[in-house]
Amino acid sequence: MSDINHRLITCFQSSGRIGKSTALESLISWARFAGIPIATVDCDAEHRTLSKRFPEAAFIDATSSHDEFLQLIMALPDMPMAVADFPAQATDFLLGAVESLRVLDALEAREIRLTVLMFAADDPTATASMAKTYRALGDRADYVLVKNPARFRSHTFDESALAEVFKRKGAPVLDLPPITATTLQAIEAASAEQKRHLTFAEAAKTASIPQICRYEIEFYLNRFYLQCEDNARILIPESAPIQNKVVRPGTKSVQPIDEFNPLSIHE
Amino acid sequence: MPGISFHSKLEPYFDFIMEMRRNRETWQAIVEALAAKGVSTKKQLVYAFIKRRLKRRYPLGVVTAKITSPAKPHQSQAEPPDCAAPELTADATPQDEFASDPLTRPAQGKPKKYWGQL
Repeated sequence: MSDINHRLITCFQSSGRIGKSTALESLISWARFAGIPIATVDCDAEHRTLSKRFPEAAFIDATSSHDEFLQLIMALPDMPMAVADFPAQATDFLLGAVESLRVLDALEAREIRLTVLMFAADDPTATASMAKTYRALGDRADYVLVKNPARFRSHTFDESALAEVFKRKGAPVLDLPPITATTLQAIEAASAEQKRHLTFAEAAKTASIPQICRYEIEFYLNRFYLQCEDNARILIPESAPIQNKVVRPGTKSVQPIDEFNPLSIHE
Repeated sequence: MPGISFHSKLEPYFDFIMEMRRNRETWQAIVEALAAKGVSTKKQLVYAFIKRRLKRRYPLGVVTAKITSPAKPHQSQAEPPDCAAPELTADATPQDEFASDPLTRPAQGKPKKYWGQL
């Protein structure tokens, strides 16, 4: 683990609409906030979420052929963190390419470690592709479990054997805080007004978005950044120090409420 | 069989056809342009010629002792070479069919951007 100089963060799962691109977008925002140089590529030809929100991000349809995928891996720059957003329904292609092109060996030779986001959804497609991914990559990658209660439930997964495996490995859990539909609509309206897709970080600073919505976005980002910072060991190589620190909510010593005398609150 | 090995009568017009394709002309438009130059053909034949020609210069199994020099773009547009009496030059075939052929090598354009740096 000590000779890791770069991290490639991605997700191989097949389910759509579970928050893959949102999680990766938030990760990129955190990296920018933390002052970590990051390389990004958007490979989702259908949605192009990342390249819409980050014009600097490249777009390549890397799942169209092994050749394109190989060139993408070969062109991986020497930056501490790289994020690739692959489309849904590409698990078999990606794992097949990783195996046949010996991508893990190639990455290890360049001191790049793979960090794979695993969405702990109860959806059968998500669990099947998660199991396939773990079986294919095993201990040669690090895993981050992502829970997105706004999109899916994780009850069945939590009781599964795979959840136990990840727990034993100490895979961190990243909770995506839900954002209300009202705030998402406000971001969309502001994006339409500015004729470009706003990231959450940009939306939090956009005056045309109602203040309460901006507070919600700030809360989302703060919660997400906190979790990233706490689990930075698995998201960035040790050689990339975090320059900025997330503002942590005040650590108040919360007194338990006396059920028989709930109004007796002392400051 | 006596005589030179087979080569397509479209061979001298390869660059001309490729130029028209790059300009997004249809196969039928190319056939009409060739007809204006005195070459009678069909769009299916032009299509098959280009597809085969892009893979390798000559059909498999054909040994070419003497080769027509490919027409340069400005030559083909101004004055098409005489197909009946092609100009003979030194052997320009690749070492083997897998060797790099500069005529069919993809154009060196702007390199693709695979990763964006933020």
